[in-house]
Amino acid sequence: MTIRLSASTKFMAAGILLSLGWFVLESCDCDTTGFYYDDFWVACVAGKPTLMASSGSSVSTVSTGPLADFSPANYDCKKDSNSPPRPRASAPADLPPGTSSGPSPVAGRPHATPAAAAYLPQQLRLLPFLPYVPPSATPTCDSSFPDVLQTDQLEGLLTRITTCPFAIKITIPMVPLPLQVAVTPDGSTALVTSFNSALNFVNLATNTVSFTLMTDPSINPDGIAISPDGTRAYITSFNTNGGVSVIELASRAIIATIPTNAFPQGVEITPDGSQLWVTYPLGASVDIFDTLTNTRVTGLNIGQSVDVAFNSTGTHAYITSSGTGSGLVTEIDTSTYKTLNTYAVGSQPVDISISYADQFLVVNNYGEGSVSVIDLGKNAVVTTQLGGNSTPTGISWVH
Amino acid sequence: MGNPIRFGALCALLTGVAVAQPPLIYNRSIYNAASFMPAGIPSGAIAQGSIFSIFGGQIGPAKSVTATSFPLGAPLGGVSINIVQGSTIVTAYPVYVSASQINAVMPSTAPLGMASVQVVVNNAKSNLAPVQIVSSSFGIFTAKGTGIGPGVLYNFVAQNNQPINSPTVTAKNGQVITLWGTGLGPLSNGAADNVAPAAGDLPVQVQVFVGGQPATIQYSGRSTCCAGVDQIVFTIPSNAPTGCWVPVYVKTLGTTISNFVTMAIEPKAGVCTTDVLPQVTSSFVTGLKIAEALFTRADTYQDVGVLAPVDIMADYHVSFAFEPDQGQFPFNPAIAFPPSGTCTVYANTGDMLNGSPALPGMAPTSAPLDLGAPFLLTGSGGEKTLSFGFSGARAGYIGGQISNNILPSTLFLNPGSYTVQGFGGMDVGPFSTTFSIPPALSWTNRLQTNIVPRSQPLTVSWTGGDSGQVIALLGLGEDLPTDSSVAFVCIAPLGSSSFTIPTDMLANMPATRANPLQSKDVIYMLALSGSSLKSITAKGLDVGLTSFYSILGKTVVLQ
Repeated sequence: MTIRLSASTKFMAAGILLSLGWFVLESCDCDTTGFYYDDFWVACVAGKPTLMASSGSSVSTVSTGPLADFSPANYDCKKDSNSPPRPRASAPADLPPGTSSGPSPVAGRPHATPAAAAYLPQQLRLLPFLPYVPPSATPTCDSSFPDVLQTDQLEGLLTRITTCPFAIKITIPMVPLPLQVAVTPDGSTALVTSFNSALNFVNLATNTVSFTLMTDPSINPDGIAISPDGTRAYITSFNTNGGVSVIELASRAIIATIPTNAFPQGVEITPDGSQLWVTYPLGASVDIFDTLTNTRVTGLNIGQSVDVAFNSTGTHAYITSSGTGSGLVTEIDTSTYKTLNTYAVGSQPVDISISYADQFLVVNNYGEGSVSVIDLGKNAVVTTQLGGNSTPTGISWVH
Repeated sequence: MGNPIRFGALCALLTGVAVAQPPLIYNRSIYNAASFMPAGIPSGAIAQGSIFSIFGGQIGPAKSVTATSFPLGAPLGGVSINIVQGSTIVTAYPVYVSASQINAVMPSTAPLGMASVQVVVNNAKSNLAPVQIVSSSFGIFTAKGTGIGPGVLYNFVAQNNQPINSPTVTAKNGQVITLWGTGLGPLSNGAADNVAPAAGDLPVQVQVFVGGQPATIQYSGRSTCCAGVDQIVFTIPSNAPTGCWVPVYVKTLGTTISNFVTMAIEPKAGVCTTDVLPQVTSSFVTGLKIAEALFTRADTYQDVGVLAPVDIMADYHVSFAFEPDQGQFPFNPAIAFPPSGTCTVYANTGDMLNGSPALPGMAPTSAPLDLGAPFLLTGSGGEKTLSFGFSGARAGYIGGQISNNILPSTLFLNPGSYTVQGFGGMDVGPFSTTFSIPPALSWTNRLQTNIVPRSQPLTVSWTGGDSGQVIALLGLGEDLPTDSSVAFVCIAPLGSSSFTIPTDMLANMPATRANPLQSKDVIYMLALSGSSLKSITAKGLDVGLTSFYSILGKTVVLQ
């Protein structure tokens, strides 16, 4: 039910934002502590911050002690011991104006931070843009259901699978050791890396290999990413030489090579196409490259990194890594490259994918045969064992 | 994307390596120093000869350094800036450097098109950060240095008396104004950017609009005071509207629209007045204690990026109280409406639809006044305790309905009479006020408002609603991959039944992507005020209001 309402809530938020209500939502100085709760609020009772609850017209006392979402220390009852307290935090001050003698080119809007978002009710920030439409009880299969592409490394095949009904449509021979697959934005072509020095171009209309780009034998293609405009592909070379090959898709030729550390594997491109993020499952970092110049921007000290997912605006990156002990997902601010959060998931997390509207992250934990779902709104992780001898790899969303 | 090769060696033990921190230009962090418009929108590029801002880490000295004399040169405080395009490298002129921000003059000879910016701090080189360089992209300086709100505009009274315009230092129609900004374009004839500029109009087409009316321009060129800083001297049109926040923008080359700023215009000298929600805005300008209890029904028709069209309705309540402390330049985008018959535009990095981050000035500088326990709303549908369903705000959901039987109706705010009751808090006393929800507003061409060419004016029409209502039209365009948002706000003249949104308001809105899920584009019609607006009288308040707002929304494709 929450999801159903949320889309309209989001629109409502926008409407409110630009009406007086916008100010209302912003005016609540309660970004860090949750001054108000769902059907709850905090009052000063006998000089102590007290969590209250309402039901209809009746009001009851919940707690004066700390609870999961209620910390009395965050409230100040000194001003009036019998009235609702003020939050301790103060609202951010405006930035300094230009000088009186003329406009100052010195003062300026600082780099945007996500902190201000906290002034909006959390629900409004989590809502999907699309309304929830319940599926029919017995779906009727048709051509609108998406297909799934799967590489079969041992058999050297690309398998195309229909999802309704669930069945193999066709198998297409690849250069040996096919590893990863990506589809061009126009949906016309699948690109499949083969560890045996090749990039396979598959025409998805005819399900045939339209071209095979044989690389130098020193290149062992593994990870692949395609630019959002569909003009370039980037493939990692999983060997001691490393490197990312830049392929112009119009000419189907390697036009540049970006040097990397040894054994780069995953490569992901930011939603705006401006950066490549490269992971090293055998290394100690994640490297970030500028796609305009193919130069390194910076590196992150994240060991045994495997996969990267970006939110829809490219402002947050989520990186799976093994490290020691349990696996981790590290959340990075893609502007400042600082760590925002870490989430403990199952052992040896590999693939990671983010749902539409940036609500959930799904992680395959290869080491223990489980799947972790991270609720980004609640910062909560639920890990589910798949049972048997599962070694999950690969994630795809069916929209 | 898994494969066996990766797993075979996952057990390798590895250790991190500590590395020194070189200068780092943050991602998507290069802006026009006046407008701060995001790079993902048409006017987010950097003009030759303009001042631009770079944000990052370790990109300058811990203690900031400002250039104080001509000629400008590099390094300044150990910082120099390279503009790189292929084998072409030119040097920008820093005017201000610090550890986190640099302001510099983009050379007039900088190469056009995509290029890279590199900061060098004491011989340590930063990453290369992409920047788009154009010949003209103007930004107007603002009084609070945020790119929105009151602009740096000086009222010409006499040569030695040119106060900065503000809601308390207003200008009159016909008065001459000096506007300050950066980005008109490059210096011509090989003039140097690092010396005091010579006076003279730059050879670039410039138009200034005040409240939507074109102004006569007396001068448009560099200020002789400062490298990279432009002045435009214009006369306020005689038919420009008056108000506290009259929109002002600059168009260069006939196509490129600057940030929108505001100025105060008043027929008589003194504090400005507004014609949109004057009870609220006057309280905001003069700093009175104000409270509002608002009720709204939002009805949004979604037919872009969905499997089937769906109509979503929801009832909400929002309440707040505050005491403005806005200083010389009071401005809050949610209160500072443009005058009737005009429009303004906001651009921001981030997801404006989500309010992340909020526009500058949205968050008051003072703590909210305490209104106490949740209000009680009584109407024909019964009683509702207005609990705070949204953590972080005195707001909540009251009821809703989604078409196609997805959600049966629980709507509560139907036309009729209602009483809202407050029980009093630490700052505001108890109250009880009755108001009426008027018949529904109808957006008559809503379903036809589907594909919106940004090069053409957009007309919307309506009927019904409340007597005395003020119709506001809001457009939100968001491009997710570049994290850029633009919103326009138009106020229709009182009593009108249609309004045409000019193309200049649409110019900076990002086009809808081929994959509509990468865009959020929606237009709203809001009915504000009207007969439902009633006063709240309570201890501790100077002004108290309750009102019902009707909101109609429609997803669109921006072409």
